[in-house]
Amino acid sequence: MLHADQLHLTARLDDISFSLLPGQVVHVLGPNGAGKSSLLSVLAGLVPPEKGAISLYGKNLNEYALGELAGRRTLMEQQLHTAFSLSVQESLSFYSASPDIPDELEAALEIRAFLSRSLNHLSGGERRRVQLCRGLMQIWPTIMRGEGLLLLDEPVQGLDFAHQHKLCRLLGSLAGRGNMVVVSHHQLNLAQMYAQRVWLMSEQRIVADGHTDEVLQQHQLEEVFQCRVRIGLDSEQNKLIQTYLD
Amino acid sequence: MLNKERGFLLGLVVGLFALSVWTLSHGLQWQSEVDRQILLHLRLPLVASALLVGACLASSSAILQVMLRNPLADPGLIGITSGASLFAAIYLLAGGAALAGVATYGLPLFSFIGALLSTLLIYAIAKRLGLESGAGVILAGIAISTLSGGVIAWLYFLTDAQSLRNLTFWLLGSLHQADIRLVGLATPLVLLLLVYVLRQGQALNWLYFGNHAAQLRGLDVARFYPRMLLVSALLVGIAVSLAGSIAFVGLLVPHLLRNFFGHDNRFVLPASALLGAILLLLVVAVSNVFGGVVVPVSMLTATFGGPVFLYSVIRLARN
Repeated sequence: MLHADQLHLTARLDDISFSLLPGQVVHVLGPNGAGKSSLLSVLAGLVPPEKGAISLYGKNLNEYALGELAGRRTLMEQQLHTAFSLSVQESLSFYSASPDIPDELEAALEIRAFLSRSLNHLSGGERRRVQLCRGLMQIWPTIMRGEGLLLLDEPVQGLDFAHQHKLCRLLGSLAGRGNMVVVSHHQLNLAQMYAQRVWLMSEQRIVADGHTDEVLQQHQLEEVFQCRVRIGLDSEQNKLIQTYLD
Repeated sequence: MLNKERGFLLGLVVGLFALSVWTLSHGLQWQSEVDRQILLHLRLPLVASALLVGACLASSSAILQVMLRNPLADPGLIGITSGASLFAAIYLLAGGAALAGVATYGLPLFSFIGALLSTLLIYAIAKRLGLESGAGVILAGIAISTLSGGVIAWLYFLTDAQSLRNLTFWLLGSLHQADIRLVGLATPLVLLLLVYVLRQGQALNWLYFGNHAAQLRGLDVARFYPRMLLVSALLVGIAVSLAGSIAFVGLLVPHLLRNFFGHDNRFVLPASALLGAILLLLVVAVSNVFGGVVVPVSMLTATFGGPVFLYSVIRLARN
């Protein structure tokens, strides 16, 4: 389990506390600059909080050796760039013990077709799928045991619709094994369909934390996003969320 | 590592050995005492310094290119070489070379200290800027490089003709200035550094996507970064001490290897050291073909390296 207690980072995070249980998928929503990326970096141990503590499976995060932590959690950052023309195969094999893509990952991310191509020659969405695969392969043995922490910062950015859904299904299935998933993005309808729990962030704080239906309320979303929100039902009674400006 | 890469490394080792033996022994009669002296006091230091300098320059560039996230980085770009040149210039122009006995070791020592000091200064500035990664080191390096160049230009301006010739000769780079004791001193140090460097291939692979990706993969970047920068400075410092300022080898060798064999540093690092050594040994061999005339190293590296580099760039663009 992942437990955060009153995390603070000047101008980036303020008084963040929560407990995340094995098997949970949390979608982190919030406007630009709300603190989503900072929160994921702090949870990954990349940036130490100025105040507060984080424990992962009962052990303080700063007591983990870097190597041990590297096998336990993965963080996919938004910006991943290399000046070298690495091939897809190289970028996967450098970071994981096994060079073979697990079938479950391939089914969702579909990257075997361009394994030998240079990363720099792929489209933005294809590159993001490779980076997702790289991050997940890094801790794949831990994920298989259901003991992984998956932190993904806007992984659906640039993905086509089919791959957005395939990714969300994959994350749900990995959480089903006992892994914890924290994923940030800007797609209210994806959160509505796939999240069990939502953290709504605004001005460096989590302003709402709860079950998806509790958090994705019209007035709450309008206040946080400074934008009008319309929530309706389609012909099959699925909830649809639309945003607009007056 | 794939079989193709293993085979290439083996080929480089065999080529290095064969070329070394030929360069050392061709045309010599083993019975003659004069020939034995030529072998021991002329050819051995020459071949050894070619091997050491080539290996040092190419492997340090292979490291710096990844750490600075710049496939075109070499020790010249980030100011290590110019720091060494400045100290060598101060030594030569201040009349240090005139001191008998000190001359052999004074110049290498001064340029070595210059390389280390400039690296420390570059790192301190980059750290102060809060940019310990690629951009900060490159910016600080360019500043130090420009400053060193300025001071050297002033020294040129203010000095006499003989000192000027000494400095110009040194700045062009030559493999013919090392003596057997100096080479003997440098060899174990270079071997130790190379053994250490060759073990860092995996860690350098993690740095391809930047410091964060490496740290997430378990590398203590805050310690690794200054340590590898220091190791690179030591390698460059030794190379510059032995042969002066030699351009292009560092840029060319790792670039070629990555272009043709991929980016795995567990292969690129040993292959760079071997190919760098072979390249400078070829320069010595060509000098021998010209009847032992001392051909400036940079002239030959640029003549061979230019077209090969151009071919490599065209190949990269086609792919």
